[in-house]
Amino acid sequence: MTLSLYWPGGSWLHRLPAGVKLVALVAISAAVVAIDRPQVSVGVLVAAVALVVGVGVPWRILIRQMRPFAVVTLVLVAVQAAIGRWDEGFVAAGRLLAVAMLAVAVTLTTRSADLVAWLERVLTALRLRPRRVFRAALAVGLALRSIDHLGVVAHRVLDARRARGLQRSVRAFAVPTVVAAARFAHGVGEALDARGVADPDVPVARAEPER
Amino acid sequence: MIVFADAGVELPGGTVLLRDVSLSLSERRVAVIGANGSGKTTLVRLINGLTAPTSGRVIVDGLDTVNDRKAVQRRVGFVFQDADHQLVYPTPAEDVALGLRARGRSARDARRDALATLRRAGLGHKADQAIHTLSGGEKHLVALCAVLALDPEWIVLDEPTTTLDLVNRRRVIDAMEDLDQNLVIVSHDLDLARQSDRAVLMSDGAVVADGAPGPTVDAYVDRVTVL
Repeated sequence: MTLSLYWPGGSWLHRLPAGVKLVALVAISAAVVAIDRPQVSVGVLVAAVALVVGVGVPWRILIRQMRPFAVVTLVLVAVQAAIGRWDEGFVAAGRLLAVAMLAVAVTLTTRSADLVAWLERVLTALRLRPRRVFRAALAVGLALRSIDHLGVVAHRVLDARRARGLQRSVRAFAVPTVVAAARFAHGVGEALDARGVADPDVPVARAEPER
Repeated sequence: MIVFADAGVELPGGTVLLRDVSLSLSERRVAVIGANGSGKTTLVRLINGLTAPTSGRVIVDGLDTVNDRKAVQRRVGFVFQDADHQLVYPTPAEDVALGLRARGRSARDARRDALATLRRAGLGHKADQAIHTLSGGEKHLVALCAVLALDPEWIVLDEPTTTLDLVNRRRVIDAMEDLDQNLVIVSHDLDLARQSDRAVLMSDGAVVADGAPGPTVDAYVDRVTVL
């Protein structure tokens, strides 16, 4: 799953402000975890799926986004089953999938730019200086970009490893990936420098109120 | 005008990357060619102040690249060889707007101008698409847009068409041809070099040929043939 996979659309969910979606995500997720009833988890999961599909996101996109969570869920259930706690495993799996599905719903219908802009407004409301707000937003944007890029790098490294017949070699995956990550970090640092992003002489405009 | 005055770059261990280069560049399109490791990238990194000369000076439009580095960076845009390393935000619109925000523009104005720049490059419809889903040529174009949005006087492009297929190569070259800025282009693409106003041939950290693109490219080809 990439963190910046936005599915364009004009639905009411797309138009809902990023801040509202994020607050709702946190609140509902907290409720799912706090209310120890499987029916709640299942209900939230089904509602979130219906929500996402209802605003036009194709099933294949939804399935692709949820696949990593499905793998983790299977491992979770297997571990719990191994110690004789099937029921707890399924309850935990239900909670995880429900929360993940809500997060996917937010990711697919919210532009990363809107997420970052909301963060800037919150930090500005907390009376942080404009330059600090800008840098916090930059850090978040950079993190999203880095995760996407390194995800692509990891896939390439896995392909290369497979091509060399080294599927079992952790080193053949770890070393190139770490080197690529270090190169990316270095390159990004230079790019920011070349674009004058770290220029202390230029004031940064305050974040604007949401319309 | 870009002036290299006996500019040299030497690493702490004694390795010389650039040997006392003296050049004055004022042409609209300057190509820098040469074999891998010849000093091309080191030379052009001096222009933007990314690398400081260990000897001599580099002056861009009267500004010293060491003492007036920030001012030089506002006049010289740099498009890196690896576009992926240059694109620091998740989507093209955010990335192009970043430089504008850093210059004091509001988020709204920065996004508006970023979108306008992307539309001119034919990428308006990809403004909010995840960058890692773009083609190599599209990434190079986004990186170029990020530089263009800041309206520099000079643009340095480090191997802008390397690794691109014919279609994407054409897109990037067409975009470069429409630019008003002065361009310094490092390239292995000799056809591209022949279309410039001047070509500089580097070898082993030194300028070995400099002048009209045709004869300079021929000199490079002759050197390769001899080897």
